[in-house]
Amino acid sequence: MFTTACTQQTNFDSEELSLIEKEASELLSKYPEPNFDFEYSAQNNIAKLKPESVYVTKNGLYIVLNSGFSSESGIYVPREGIAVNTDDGQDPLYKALSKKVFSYEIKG
Amino acid sequence: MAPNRAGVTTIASLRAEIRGYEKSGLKGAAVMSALSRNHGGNANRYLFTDKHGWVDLRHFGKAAEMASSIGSVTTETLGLGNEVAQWAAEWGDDYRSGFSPEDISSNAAGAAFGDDYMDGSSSVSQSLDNWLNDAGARDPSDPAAGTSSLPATDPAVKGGANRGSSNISNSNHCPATASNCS
Repeated sequence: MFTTACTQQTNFDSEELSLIEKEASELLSKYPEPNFDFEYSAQNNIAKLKPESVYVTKNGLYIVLNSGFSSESGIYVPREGIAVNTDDGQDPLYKALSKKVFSYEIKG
Repeated sequence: MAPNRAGVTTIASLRAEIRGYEKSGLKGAAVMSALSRNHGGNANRYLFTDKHGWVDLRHFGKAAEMASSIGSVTTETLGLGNEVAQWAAEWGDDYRSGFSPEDISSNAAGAAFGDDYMDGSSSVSQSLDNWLNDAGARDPSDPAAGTSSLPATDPAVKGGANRGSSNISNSNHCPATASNCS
């Protein structure tokens, strides 16, 4: 069994992205410190993505859609004031889906 | 990703991070999962030990999480499989991470920690203290860690010190005190 990230949905319309951003902001306000074990089912649009897990770090909120041994990919919403480097050839690799919502891939 | 001066961490920082997770209510494998997840980027990612060289906390945490439930041999096999798959999938990519010098030894260190040190009878913090002592952990300021020989930033970034690859085909940054590399 090899463990690498699989293809995932990262095509969202602007309304979906706006709703994800709103719900992510709520969670980031609720959890100002890193948290890796919290309930997010009330955030319908995040839950609808059927994430493997959702967690927050000091940098933002990660919605994990696929993960492997050390690899991971999904949706990332940064905290206010956190700059996101979207240059190619980085790890993690971030791509902007909207102004405040990004897809991310960690190779590890 | 591979060891670099911008990504090193201290023993105190790792201890504080683990204590923080336990304080928040996490236990056992969940603590190690949080450790791995919190180190997806370069910040505070690499700790030097005499026994394993530079330990990548993302790999260490994941391997420990898995080994605490499925054992170290299966975990190390899965970790090796991951590197092979990553190596193959990254062919031609700007960023090549498969078989970074420290990946396999970090997986082995984490698998041993999860299998041999996390026995459920003591806290992860206590287990970590034992492991840090046995592994010969050193702060990056300790000359024996050889921090000064590391590249300044992640060498796997395109255009970086290793021209877009952190893997074993490139120069290894292995201090003389490490027993697992030459």
